[in-house]
Amino acid sequence: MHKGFPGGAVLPDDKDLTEGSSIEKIPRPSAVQIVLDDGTNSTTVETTVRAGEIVARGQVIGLPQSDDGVAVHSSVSGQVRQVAESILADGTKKQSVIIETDDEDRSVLSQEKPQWKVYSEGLIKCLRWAGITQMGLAGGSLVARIRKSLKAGLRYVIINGVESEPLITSEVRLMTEHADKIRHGCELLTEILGLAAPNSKSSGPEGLFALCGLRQQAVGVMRNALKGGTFRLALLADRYPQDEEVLLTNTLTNSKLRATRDPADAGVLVINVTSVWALSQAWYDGEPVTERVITVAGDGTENTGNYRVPIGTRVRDIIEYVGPLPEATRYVLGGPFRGWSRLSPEGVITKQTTGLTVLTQAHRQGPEACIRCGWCIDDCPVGIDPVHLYRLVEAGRIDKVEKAWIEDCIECGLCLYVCPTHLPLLERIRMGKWALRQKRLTRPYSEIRD
Amino acid sequence: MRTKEPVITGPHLCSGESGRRILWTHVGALWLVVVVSTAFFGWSAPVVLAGTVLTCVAVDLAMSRLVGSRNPASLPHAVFMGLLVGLTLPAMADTSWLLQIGVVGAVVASLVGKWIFGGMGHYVWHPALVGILAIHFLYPAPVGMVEQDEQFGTPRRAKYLLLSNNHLFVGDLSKSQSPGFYQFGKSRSGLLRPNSYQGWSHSVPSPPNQTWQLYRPVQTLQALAKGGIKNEEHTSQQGFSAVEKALYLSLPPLADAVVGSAGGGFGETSVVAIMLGGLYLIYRGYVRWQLPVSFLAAAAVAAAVLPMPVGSGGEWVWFPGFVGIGQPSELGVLPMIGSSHWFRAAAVGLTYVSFHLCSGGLMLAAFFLANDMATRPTRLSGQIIFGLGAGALTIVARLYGGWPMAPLGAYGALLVMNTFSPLIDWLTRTKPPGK
Repeated sequence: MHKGFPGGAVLPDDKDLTEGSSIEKIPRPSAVQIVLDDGTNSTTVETTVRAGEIVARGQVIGLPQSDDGVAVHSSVSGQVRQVAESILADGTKKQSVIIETDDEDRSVLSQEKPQWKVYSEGLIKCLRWAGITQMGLAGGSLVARIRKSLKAGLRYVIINGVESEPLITSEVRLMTEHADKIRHGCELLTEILGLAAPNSKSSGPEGLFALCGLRQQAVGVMRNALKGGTFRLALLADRYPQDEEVLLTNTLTNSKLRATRDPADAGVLVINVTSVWALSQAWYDGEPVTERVITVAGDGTENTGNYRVPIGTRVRDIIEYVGPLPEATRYVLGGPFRGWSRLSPEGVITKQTTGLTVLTQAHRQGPEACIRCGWCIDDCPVGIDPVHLYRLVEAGRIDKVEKAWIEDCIECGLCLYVCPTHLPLLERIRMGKWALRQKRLTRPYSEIRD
Repeated sequence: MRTKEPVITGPHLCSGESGRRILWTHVGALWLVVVVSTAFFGWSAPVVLAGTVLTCVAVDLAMSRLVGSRNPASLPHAVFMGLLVGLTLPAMADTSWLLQIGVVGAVVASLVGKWIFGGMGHYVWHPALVGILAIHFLYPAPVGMVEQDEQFGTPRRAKYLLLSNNHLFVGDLSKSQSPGFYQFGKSRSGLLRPNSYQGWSHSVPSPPNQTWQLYRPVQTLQALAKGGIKNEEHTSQQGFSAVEKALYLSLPPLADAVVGSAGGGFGETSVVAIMLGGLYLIYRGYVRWQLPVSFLAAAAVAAAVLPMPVGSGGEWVWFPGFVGIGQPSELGVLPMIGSSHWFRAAAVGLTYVSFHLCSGGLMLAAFFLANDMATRPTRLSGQIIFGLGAGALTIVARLYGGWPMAPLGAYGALLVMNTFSPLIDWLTRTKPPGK
């Protein structure tokens, strides 16, 4: 038995469909749309290019404005068509740079190969230079996480290769094929963060490499790669959503963090496998993040598999390459559980997109009345009562949702998946969270004081 | 600026379950119970069941139309409730009379039990149980255990029929015969009376009579608990305790109670059929095994431990689950550990406990009635508390309960526990980690 957490569910994840297909490079797209995102989600990025300018692959096109932000690079060589505000798949607006590719494939990577000093500030400088964020579903700034966890006193470094989202196998594939690079990244982290060797008496942060025990090929490869290193392999049960950072921390360190807390504040640094791979590439090869591996899955495509695509590739181009089916109606950026979808292939691949799920139909039917089966409560990984929250939000009782732990919801979507009456539980919880934020913003001063 | 098209949030997949599917599966799990009840009690079982089911469905359709509710799971729910009301009715000769009782029960179940509270998922008490409760109030004589004769264990009006081996499906109910005392085997020939019922497999009444009339085992157990079986009456040279006398002389063979050829409600008697249906529901994941198991375990422990009054002299049998063979004394004696007394105790005490589990509505309640999704607690710990409480209350009601708790038995216990189900939910509420 592998370790797990209370709640959650074993899903029919169909990972064997893509687990064995090796990473393939797709032909250069005609244009890319690079979102100017520095990973912090709060500050804007200053554009360094103007429309009409010629850029090369790896050239910096956006500079971060905050200490925790990272640079944004061009992922292709070509000409900037425009810098405009565009709407992303999740409905938010962000500045993005649209670059038309040319055939020359110029690269700035051979010209400069910076050297960094082996200590934490050097690591942060490397991450900021190479544009490495948390390249998984959680997203967010890796630099901020490192700073916070060092400030809180680093206890654990957990490399997150669990990937419990159904259908998505991009990180499993990455570990299988690029194990040596990930090993180099691990060794680098060991050296910089001063990790203690396993079974040694020396005090220092502990390194854990979390993997799903069921992905045997990746487990075998990583076990060989990590042999003799400081990172201990931690095999976890195949329960969704084990790859959420808080749940991963609680499972592996036997702690009880609230889901609203950042594990970094408790001295636990969680890094995605893809970020470790990118770090290794940046540090040793001098390559910033211009590509990532995604899984194309779902019943709306024939050629499911893992593809290595430039950041900013439009979904339209990927769909054209893998062969569209006429029945495809939904294009989900990310996995089928936590991804956001549009009805047309409008989205672009960002640094945190792990996959592209193409579905043919809406699997959910209209809501019926709750029959009180209690499955949403059983399966909730953070132990809250989704249907109670649903009723509170439907009744407009925003004053009560905080006491019902609405902020602890990690939006994994399991309650909606298991609901036999197809109630829009997660939608209402999101609405309740939004209403709670609005209420706090407009709270009178007398209430804030106490 | 607005987006042209909607953004759809996850999850984009569904487990494929629906309320309709869950409830049709519940109905399907009862098919063996229906078949077995038809086999043992003749055509009166399907007729009565059809009556209750059709009544429930008709009331449900009318109320759905009236209220404007369009829940597709409501129809299978009505079928399930109708089946449960019908299956708990006592098997009797008078089909038309029973049909009338069943229809009244089904109307009450659907109207008062379900729709007054607002339909599916909103009711507090199990609708079928509300219907059964109403039947016990409206027709106490046929379904309850009231107005007994002076002679031990012979209810005046509540006689139940069991078709004999030869006439499994078309037995002539008018030529039924009331059996004498039961007995287990041929070894105690001193106890044999002419025309005694020796179990379903080798007991055929003499030709002019074609069927047996049997009493519900739970009635005998209740008569025992009320002190109706005296210690003093010795039927042979060997002295018998009250428990032994009840087991040897007044109850059917245990195998019959397990297979279902004993007296009782249409769907209550066959432990095997109920268990198969319940296990299928557990296998499908609609029922968690902890609830029926805790229900039955609590009932078994309570039956083994709770004392019974015996005789008129204020004597009690303490720990009836541990009494042994041939205890002539007025008190059941706890067996000594390590002696062969344990084995002999198993013969009497454990048979007594097994009869408590296999008789009455206990099995049907544990596997089908307790698991109603709206009236059970939602969390696992709450369900275990619910099951333990209901099991213990069932035995308490049988041993010490007056009317109507004693005839209701497991059903009354479930109604009481349904009332506390929201409280149990509140007590077992969980908090997120770290809070």
